[in-house]
Amino acid sequence: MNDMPNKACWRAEDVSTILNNEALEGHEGVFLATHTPIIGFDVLGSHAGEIEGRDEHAVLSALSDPGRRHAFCVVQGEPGSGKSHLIRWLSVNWPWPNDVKLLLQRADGSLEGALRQLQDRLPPEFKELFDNLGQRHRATVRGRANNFLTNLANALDPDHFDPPLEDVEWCRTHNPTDLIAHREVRQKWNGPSRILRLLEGANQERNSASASFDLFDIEDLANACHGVYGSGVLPRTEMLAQRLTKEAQVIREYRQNGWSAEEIETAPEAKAQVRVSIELAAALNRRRNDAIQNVLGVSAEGLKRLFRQVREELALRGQRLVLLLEDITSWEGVDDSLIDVLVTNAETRGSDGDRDMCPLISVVGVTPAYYQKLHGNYRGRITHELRLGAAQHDGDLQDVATLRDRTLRLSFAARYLAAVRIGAAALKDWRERRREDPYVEVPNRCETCSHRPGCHAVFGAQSGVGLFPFTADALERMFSALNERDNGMTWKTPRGILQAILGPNLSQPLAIEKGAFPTLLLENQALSADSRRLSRRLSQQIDAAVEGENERSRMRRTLAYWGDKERADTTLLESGELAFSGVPHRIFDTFQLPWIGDSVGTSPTVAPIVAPDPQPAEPINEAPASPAKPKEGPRPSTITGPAPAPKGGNVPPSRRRTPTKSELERLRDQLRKWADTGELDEPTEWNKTLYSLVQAIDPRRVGLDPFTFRRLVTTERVKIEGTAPGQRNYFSVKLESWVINGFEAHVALRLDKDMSVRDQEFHRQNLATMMRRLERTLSEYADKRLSLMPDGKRWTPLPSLVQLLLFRAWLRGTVSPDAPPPAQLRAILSDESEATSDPLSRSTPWQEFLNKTHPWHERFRDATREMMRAPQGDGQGFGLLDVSVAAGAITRLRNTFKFDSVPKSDSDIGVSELDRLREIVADTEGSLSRIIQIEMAQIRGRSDALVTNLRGHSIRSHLYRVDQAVDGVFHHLPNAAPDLVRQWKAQLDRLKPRFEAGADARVEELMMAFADEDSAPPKRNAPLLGWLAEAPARDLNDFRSAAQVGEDLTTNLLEAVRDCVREGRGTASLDDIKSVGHLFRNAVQSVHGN
Amino acid sequence: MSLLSSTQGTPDRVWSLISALSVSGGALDRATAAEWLNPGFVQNGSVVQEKQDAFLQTLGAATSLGAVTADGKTLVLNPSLDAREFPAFCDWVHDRLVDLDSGEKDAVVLETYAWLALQSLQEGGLSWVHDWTASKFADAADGALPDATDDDGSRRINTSKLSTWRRWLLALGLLVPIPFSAQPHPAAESRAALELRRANLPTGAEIDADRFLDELAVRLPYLDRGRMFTATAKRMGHAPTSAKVSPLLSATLRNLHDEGIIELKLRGDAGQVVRLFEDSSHRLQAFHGVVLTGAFA
Repeated sequence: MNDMPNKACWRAEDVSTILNNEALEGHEGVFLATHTPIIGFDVLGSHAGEIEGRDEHAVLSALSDPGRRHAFCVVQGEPGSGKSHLIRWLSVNWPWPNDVKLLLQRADGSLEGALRQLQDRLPPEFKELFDNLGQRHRATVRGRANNFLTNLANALDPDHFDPPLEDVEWCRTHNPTDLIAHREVRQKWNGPSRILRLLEGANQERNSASASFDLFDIEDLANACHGVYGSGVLPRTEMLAQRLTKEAQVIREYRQNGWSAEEIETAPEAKAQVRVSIELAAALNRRRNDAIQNVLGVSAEGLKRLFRQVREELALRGQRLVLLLEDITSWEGVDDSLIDVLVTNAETRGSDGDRDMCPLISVVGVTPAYYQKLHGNYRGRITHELRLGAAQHDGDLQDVATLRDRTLRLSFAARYLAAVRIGAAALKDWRERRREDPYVEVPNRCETCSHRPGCHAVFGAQSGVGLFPFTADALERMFSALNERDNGMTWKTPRGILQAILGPNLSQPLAIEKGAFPTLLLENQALSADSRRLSRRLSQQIDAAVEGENERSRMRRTLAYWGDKERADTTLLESGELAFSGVPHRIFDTFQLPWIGDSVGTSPTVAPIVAPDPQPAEPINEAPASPAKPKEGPRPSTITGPAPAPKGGNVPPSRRRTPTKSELERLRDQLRKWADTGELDEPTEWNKTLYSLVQAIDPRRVGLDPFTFRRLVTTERVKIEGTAPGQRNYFSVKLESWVINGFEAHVALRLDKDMSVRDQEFHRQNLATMMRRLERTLSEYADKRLSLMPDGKRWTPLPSLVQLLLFRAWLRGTVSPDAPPPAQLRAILSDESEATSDPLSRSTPWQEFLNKTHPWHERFRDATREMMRAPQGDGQGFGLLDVSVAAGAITRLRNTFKFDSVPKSDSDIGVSELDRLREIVADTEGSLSRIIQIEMAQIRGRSDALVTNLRGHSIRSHLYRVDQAVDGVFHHLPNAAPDLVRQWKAQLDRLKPRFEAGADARVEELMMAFADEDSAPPKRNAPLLGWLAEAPARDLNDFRSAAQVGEDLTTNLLEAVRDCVREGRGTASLDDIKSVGHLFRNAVQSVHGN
Repeated sequence: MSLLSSTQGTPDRVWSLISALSVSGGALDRATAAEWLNPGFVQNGSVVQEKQDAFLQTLGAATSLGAVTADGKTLVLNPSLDAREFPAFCDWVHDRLVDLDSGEKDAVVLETYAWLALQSLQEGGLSWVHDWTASKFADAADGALPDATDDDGSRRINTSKLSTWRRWLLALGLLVPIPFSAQPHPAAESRAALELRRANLPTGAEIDADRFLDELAVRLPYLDRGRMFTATAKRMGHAPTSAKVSPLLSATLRNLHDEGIIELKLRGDAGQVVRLFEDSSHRLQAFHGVVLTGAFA
């Protein structure tokens, strides 16, 4: 006999009846069979002390106490958290038949439905009271919405209410009346229709949603008010519209990043930016009930009067009224009036006649959102407040206390599984038997099932109820996967378990025998998509081993929830059975899935699962233990705060984070989502991760030097494709398998400290592959940034840097081109000292090159040092010199006197040093020899000029002879060319120390070199440049200049003497004149040499 | 000095020396060569210069490789060495090391890698490379090498030589640096792709798996079927089957296949196949033939 089930042990119709059990009448059997005790809640309120315990019995005991005359008990919990269930349980177990107990269920969620229930449940004699409640308008939905909007606009008029409401001054300042009443707003704004639709039950899908205007309504209003401008409204109304439009941009950004309207409204940094929108929403909500009652045809006063009359009548009968309202939101529109009724204590309000009313015990279900907006006056009058859960931080949704414990969660599911198996009809019988015998057990089909031993061994059981087709771990994983933030609501509730876990898995029982289980229904919106995204290894293993997409997705669902989606190992269970990814072999068989594990167990058994409880704090940015392991001590943290608020609306808000996950888990989920959908959350973070990986590459492996690598690969340049505009100067990787695998390895190796050896193997291999592929990508990126040369090879900046610095050193006389290479290297790498080549006396191109490179040489040198250092390993020292590139560059420059070619590219590299380098080299292309030729011509020209002026004398001799002649003339003709004489004297004085230093001899030697073949300047560029750099260019120029001044001066003086002689005729004897004339002529002629 | 005992003689430093010799016509006197690599320069008023030992060890590594010979005070570049680019130098080094007999001191470089490949078979993967301590790794590797000592009298492989060993293997394309690990990861794809390009194998045509692996074993003798691999296995007393490929070579072949450099073929009716080491996350578990696509990395 097969000891495993091969088909479902329940019927689809029972699933529907039992899981979707809203109505209590006729279904008490289901209700009681599936009831899970509600425990662990908090009790507050003015009379909290009356409830002695934290369970439902204590509540019942306190509220139903025969002596009680008044109670206004509020049950607070998120939608689906069990408020209604508790209230129904109180109703079912209410012990006093004499009390008039009215259970008003949520029904269709509409006010009309709520009133109808009230009418139906009240004793018949009260039904006529409903005739005075009001008359519903005969209008279409659109017509009612228009009426609602018109009423709202009127109510926003500052003079509308008497006494005025608290925001009257705000309304006076902003004049919202004209905005709301504007024709275009009326046509385009959907807010009033939405509110009306909710109040009318939203087609029974209201789910306790509050029918209040929120920030998204105001955003919608802002989008509808473009026609307001220039339409004749008051300037302050236009300003209000402007302000709303501006704030709508902020709201939109938050909304698009996953924030709910309530979260925006409560987060301090967010609400500060949408202040006016919040105030307008509050003003609208403050007037909602007044505006809607007329539309819905309900009179608040009529409702109060109705209850007053009922209570007066019951008082006469000596009965208490017990009102059990599952959901106050069903009463929105008249809720304030209803609460007025509920808080009215006949015992304490005797002065106005209330004493004539019967005692009223009310229990009301409210959501935390509703409670937050409940007026303080009402809150103060709550006698008992039961909080079914708690939020960890402001803005968080509440959890459900009853579901905090794994055993309770499993018991909750097991009760429903047992009920579904036994069926609704059998439960009805059981209920009847239970009336006779309150201790009769709920029937359990497992007790008589032949598959029980194997089924319970593999799928597990809770209190004797088999968990098939789930396992305890599967239920826990699914619970853990329930979305805690789905448009402002949480699925981690009892209702969430029913609707998102039990329902989808049980509703198609035939799927099991047909080999179609688990079905696609399991992939519902309530379970986060992240929860079914498998590790890369597991995913790839399925792709490799399972044929057909349907089977693969069935396998993926099974492994995601029944197994450990982070593991792809075959393990040996204690039972001796093999399990793959934590899923026992027999589950594969039962679900008719192929076994894809190994034939032997290779790894230790995987630890059991406990869904992380969404409470305590765990710091982010810290790798937690394996998520598969039960967590002890403090529970994971909730990341409550949104990212820093955008300033001025420029920076979009970060995506609202899912709580309870570590930073690394979040990154892993994002990665899998990226692989799954192509949508990458937090691209900035991923670009940073990519950057850090690229930084781990040794640049030399891709032919880059460290400097160029550092400057090309910056955080701004490294992008995942699609996260920035495609540009040539971005290092970019695509969404490819090796990228996803590498990123996952990068996260997993930090996150998952308990991974198996095979997982480690898989991830390290993937990381190694990614690093290799990144090297190739980096190489291609460097090709693009630096450009390719005509030979197809990438341009390398170092040779150009070396050559440029070296040529500069040559021109400055730091080193001769003929010096040995190590000396050249020293000149290139050393800080510059004073030039020895008299640069200011050099030709224009010589000076221009030095001037052009002057502002950059230090940066060029720093770059060159970084490029050439060859430390040992990661050592910080400079190490030896990597001359592999520089050696050739030096040699080529010496041999050719040309810089290596640089790429001719129109676009910049984006590295200032390299762009400038390329520019300078391109400017001087072919001009290095020209610089030498021009300089040579200048030196030779100056030398020739000096030689001519010296007239065969030495420099010193010539200049002193000139001076002597000048003195002689000056003595007799002190007024002859006095300025030139002063200039000459000053120049000669400056040159005298040079004589002492032998400068004249060096210049004469230079002049001799031009005249003498044996000592002529070298012919080849390198030695010639060395020769030129050492030439006394400054002395040559100064002596040449002085000689020229002397030449000019003596010419002037000779002219003056001649004038003097001419003027002397007739005033002196002819002999005297001749004597003076000879004297002058000799002196000057001795200078000129003729 | 052996390659591994020249701990300061890193591949890029040796390459630097070779480049200096190359531009100097293939020969330099020792002092000038030392000055080339260590000229000293002034930065912020201080002289920056490495200790002389760094050059000596660089020279030691270069001479041990046979890239440079010392003729008195003159250093002479091996004329067979292609000194145009670093990758060509690495190819030359690889060829040189591949050709060494087991008795030669630098054979330890690839013999240790052969041991690693064999050990991957025993360990069922390569993760142990990251998990073992340096001394455990060095001891195990040394135990698998032929009995001999290095020039310095110490073991041919020990913890102080491991860094040098890894540097050379990184340069040869046999290891890949990965984040979060002090050790680079063994990965022979880069070298295998280079050697396939250099091998005289037809592209575009299916080659029998055995012929392909045999050819690869000639060029990569430290991997499965290779001379060093086989000798190491013999010394260790292991008998790896030729029908199943080691994890190291399996990963290499799968990655080359995924990157489109080779195409591993498996026909349903193929009789004799070569089984890759099990990796259930990959579709390929065996192959009977190989096509070189010509898309060499």
